[in-house]
Amino acid sequence: MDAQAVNQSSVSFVSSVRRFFYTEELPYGLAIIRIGLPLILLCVVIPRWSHAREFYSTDGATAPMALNYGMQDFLPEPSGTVAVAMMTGLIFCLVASSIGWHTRIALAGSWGLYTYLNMLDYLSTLTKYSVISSHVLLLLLLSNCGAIWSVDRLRSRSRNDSRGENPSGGRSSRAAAWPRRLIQLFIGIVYFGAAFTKMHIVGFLSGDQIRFWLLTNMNGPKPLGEWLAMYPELIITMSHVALIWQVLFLFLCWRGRMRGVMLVVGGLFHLSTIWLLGLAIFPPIMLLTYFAWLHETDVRRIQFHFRSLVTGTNRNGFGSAAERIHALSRRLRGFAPKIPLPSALLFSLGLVASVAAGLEIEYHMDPYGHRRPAGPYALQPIPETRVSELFAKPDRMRDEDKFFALEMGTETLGGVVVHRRDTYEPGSQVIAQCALVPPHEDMWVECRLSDSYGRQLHVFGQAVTRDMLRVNFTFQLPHDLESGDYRLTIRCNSNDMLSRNIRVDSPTSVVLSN
Amino acid sequence: MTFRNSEPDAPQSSQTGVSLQLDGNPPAPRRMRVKHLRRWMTHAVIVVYLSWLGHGVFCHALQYRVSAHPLMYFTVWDMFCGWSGWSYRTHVVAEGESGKFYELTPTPWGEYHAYGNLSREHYDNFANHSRQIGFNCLKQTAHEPMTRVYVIGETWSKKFNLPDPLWQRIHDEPKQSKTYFNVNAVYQSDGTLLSLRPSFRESHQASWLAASLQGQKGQGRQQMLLGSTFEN
Repeated sequence: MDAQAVNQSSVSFVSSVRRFFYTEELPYGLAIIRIGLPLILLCVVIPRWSHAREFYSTDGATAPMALNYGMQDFLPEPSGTVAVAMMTGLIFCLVASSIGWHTRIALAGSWGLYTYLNMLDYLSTLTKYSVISSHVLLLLLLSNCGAIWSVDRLRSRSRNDSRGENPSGGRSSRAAAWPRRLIQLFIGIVYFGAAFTKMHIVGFLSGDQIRFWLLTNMNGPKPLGEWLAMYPELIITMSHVALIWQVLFLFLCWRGRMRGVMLVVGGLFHLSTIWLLGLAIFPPIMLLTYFAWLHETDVRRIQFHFRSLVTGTNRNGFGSAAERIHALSRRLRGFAPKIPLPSALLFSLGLVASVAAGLEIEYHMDPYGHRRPAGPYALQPIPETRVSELFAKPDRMRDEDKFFALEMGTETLGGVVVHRRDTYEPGSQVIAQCALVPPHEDMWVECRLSDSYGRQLHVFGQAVTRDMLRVNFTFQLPHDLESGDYRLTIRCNSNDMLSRNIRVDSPTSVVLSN
Repeated sequence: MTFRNSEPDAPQSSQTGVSLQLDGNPPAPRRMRVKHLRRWMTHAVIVVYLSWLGHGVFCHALQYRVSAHPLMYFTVWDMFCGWSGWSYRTHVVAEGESGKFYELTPTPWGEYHAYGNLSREHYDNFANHSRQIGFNCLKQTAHEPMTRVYVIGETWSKKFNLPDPLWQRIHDEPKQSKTYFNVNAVYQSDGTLLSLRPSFRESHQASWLAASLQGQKGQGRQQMLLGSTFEN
């Protein structure tokens, strides 16, 4: 390759990067994220507002995240009054961000207050979705997302109208695409990093981690979670798909059909976590960030289809709705200049008034009850039975707590039993799989086959080391085994842990019974 | 210093006096300089931001200094990084001078359920913040003088979280859940740590290890590990 070719390829790379980051566009996707993200965060922030004094101030019990990293005083903790004021200011800033009123200032306030307060409460506020929200708020702050669908836009158009200037359509709202690109890259990197987590974890691809997560009651209701825990083969399949998707997302999410595939799989993945893991806020935030993939051309295409519907087949429905929206927009534009105060002053007054109102309301709410007629809350002694329960001498862990379930079948897939059955023919192979609950010590585990009278027919034993999450007993039923009910029992330390009934039916008996 | 258009009829900006190009865009060098500066600042923001994210992924992938600084939490994407076969709950209890015991969680002014139906002390996986929650409850309530504050862990095998219909599908035996309680930490009334003990799970793992290392001699060591490992 000669020097000229190298030079050309580097020039084309630079121009591609420049096009990628600096192509000017209307920020439709960012505007949707700007409107939606604060609304979702308000669902988190408003319920915590009445606990601001308790969670985020020296007048309560903060749980600074830095403490988990061995740092005592990483961030200053505000007093109770300041914490309430900050929380109220955060609510005001989130509302202002959503409607696009002094968008950049509102987003700066939202980002700063939200991130700071989060870092003061590791237990009930800071999670990965709040970290993702902080990143997105920061990138929105650096963007031109308030240029459309915002109060700021209405104000600027009103100003232009009053000056008699011709509004330049979308031209003045256009800006370089780099904030949107950074959000896209950020989401891709989050998935890529999450894939590394999954690669590091023992038990992820075998489905054990997800199975126990499905049984964890730390989040909201999860109607499908426990049900899916019954089907480890499905969990294993989904774990593999999730891992492959998370690795590939960063590389395939940019164009063509794979963009759609990656986004659809991501959407299904996040939606499934609502019903499988009981997550309520994480999925809508992630789904909202997917609007960073909404390009101006996509919006034009949607507008074209909308217009063709309006002018074509369904004028009464869509047409009248569009006209109503347009008329409302005109009315709103007309309303803005009638406010006799400058917008910046109005914004400042609104912020101060809402903070003052918040402080007053919180004072009257009296969260700790110090100003109640009865005085502060009094602690009530707990009954003796409860004391004995709490302070009971630590028992040794029961052996049966270490054995999760016994499942039987004829095949394994990804290490778990599939093709589960309770009925077998004489001479057929049986796989009895005992799933274990970690941690457990090194154990000797037996599998016993006995008949309906309790007579022991066969015993199989196996050493189970502490790193094992499953143990398989594979054996062949004797050809001369009589038809009837049998029992498989898993034993450890001379005690029965788990047992299941199986039925042995010879083909002739099946024919006879038919 | 301004570059003026050589065309005599070139439009002038009324406010700045800066000459405009024929297409109406101001080519004034000050604006150009500002534009260049903004472009370079944008370059810097993009490079710094992507480097920061890349650093997090690199550290996470190689398990290198992932806990070096609190800001690593903002770039290390370790969702669902840990798991356990056991469910945990935390209780903070105070002992009064009269010998009576008082539960400090849930707090008497009402508890907040952040994610599900659990109050915040149950999310304290590393037991770093339960003390603070307990002593805040003492600070905000009326009570007799206290002598001790205990942080107690409650544990049970997650297999018992299966709803009854699903339990019956995979188990022939009845569901007999057992809950274990374990005092994890003891504090004096002034907050001084008196005793810190391993969790239920840790104490068993340690005792199994000791037993396998020392055989029958491990039984004695086992008992010690099930008691306190740190006494002040």
